[in-house]
Amino acid sequence: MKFKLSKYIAATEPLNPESRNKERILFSTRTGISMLISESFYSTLQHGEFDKIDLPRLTKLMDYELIVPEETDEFQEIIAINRLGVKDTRGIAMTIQATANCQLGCFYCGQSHTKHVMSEEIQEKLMDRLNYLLAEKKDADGMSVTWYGGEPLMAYSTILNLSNRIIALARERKIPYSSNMITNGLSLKKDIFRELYLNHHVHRFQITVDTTKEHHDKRRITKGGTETFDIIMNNILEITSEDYYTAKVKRPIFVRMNIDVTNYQDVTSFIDRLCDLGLKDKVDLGFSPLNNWGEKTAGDDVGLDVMTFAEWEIEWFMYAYKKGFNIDYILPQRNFATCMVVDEHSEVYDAYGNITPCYEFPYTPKYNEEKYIIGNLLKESDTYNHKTEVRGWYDDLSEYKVPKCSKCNLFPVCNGECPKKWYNGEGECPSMKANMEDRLVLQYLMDKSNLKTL
Amino acid sequence: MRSQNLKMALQKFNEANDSSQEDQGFEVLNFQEASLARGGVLDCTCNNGSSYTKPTQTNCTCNSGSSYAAA
Repeated sequence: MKFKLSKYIAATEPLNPESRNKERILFSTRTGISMLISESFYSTLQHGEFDKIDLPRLTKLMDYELIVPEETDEFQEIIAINRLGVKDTRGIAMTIQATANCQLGCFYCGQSHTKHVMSEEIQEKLMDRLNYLLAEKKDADGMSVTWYGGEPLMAYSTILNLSNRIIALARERKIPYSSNMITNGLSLKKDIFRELYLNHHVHRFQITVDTTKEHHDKRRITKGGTETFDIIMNNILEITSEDYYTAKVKRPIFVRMNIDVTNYQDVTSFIDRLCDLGLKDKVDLGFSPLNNWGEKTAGDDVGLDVMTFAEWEIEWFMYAYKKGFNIDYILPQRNFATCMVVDEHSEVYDAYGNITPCYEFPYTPKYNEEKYIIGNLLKESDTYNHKTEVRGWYDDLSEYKVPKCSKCNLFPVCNGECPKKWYNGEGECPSMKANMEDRLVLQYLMDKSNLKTL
Repeated sequence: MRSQNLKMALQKFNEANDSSQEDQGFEVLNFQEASLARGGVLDCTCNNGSSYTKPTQTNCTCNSGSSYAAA
């Protein structure tokens, strides 16, 4: 059998160009393996001189899928493996958006908020749907719920009610259960956190703080215009100072920053602020580019271009790492599912009973069309549309409808990142496409040295 | 590499760790993380791309009844 070097690799330039024994980092996106490789060995691989490699090392390179059979159509193979990987997933993942209400009026939010909360009738139907999914997936080995909205805590009692019922069902079926919440943090008082964290398995709370007070209070304000930075930060401080904060996981709170041209230069100031407040060991950090959302085009208007974001992202990783935040691993990992939309056992339920494949669809007028909606819990399941546009992502990819993806060396660790964006004609590669080499070098330095001393 | 700060950090690292070793071929840097992402161990590969039933086990048992190709 003849072999070839996989097209799914990324490589750095030589790390030590002045050295006699030059080395670079080679990364297999088929497996997520990165390796330090000598220049001569790299040249051997590039020239396909595999007969010069001894059998033990050759076997390893095949294990790591850096070398693949010559006749392999790697793109089609990766999609086929992805489909099987998704099919083999034995978890049932639900996103429950129990209310269309939210206190905030962020300029970039594409949702249309109302005071509507999920009725008891719809909650009942949701439990029926979960039982149906469990009956369909008899080998289910996990159930997970993401609580989202609107602002989920504006339907707190509904969440507690549903959570109790889902946990009871998971116990009855002896299936592990996990949960997380995406919240603006405004109502996340310590008593509420304690209840959800200790008694409802919510072990991850994503709270968005758009960097410093100056920026946050211009954009994440209430519909009445009230500032929210101090309230949210105070909530975080109170929660993280409780004894039980690390009882279940090390860092239950994840602080997400939406970053654009107006606030990117103050990301490091915000990191300093979090550090001054003693939060470096207590929260995780996430840097997110501001994107379009539904009919709101904030991404086009004030978003950073990918290249600029990617360059700054490396600086933020380095800065946060040096400050002592948990920035341990920044390389992408092989994943079989682009996101929830490709998994038919992953569904989103909103307060009106609508079932959608993507959590960005509920309450967002742009996605009211039939092609985005699977069905409604109040209707019979034989009326459901299992061929919503985004669910066909792997079919469309396999027909080469997204050339950027079929030609991309990072495809196995990206899979297109956000299918919805491509269908909207807003397809843009994630930052790793622009900063992969820097990520590889930074990861190497974090592993091999101590950046803090450099 | 685009980041000037990263370039400087790498340069300092190189100065402190001048490698005069002979050609070692390659050294895997992240075996553990990559193994976890695949839900198993990288020295065995499920033959249909399925993940592993028990992430920490080393006998390469694949789920959904698929077999595996051991290295």
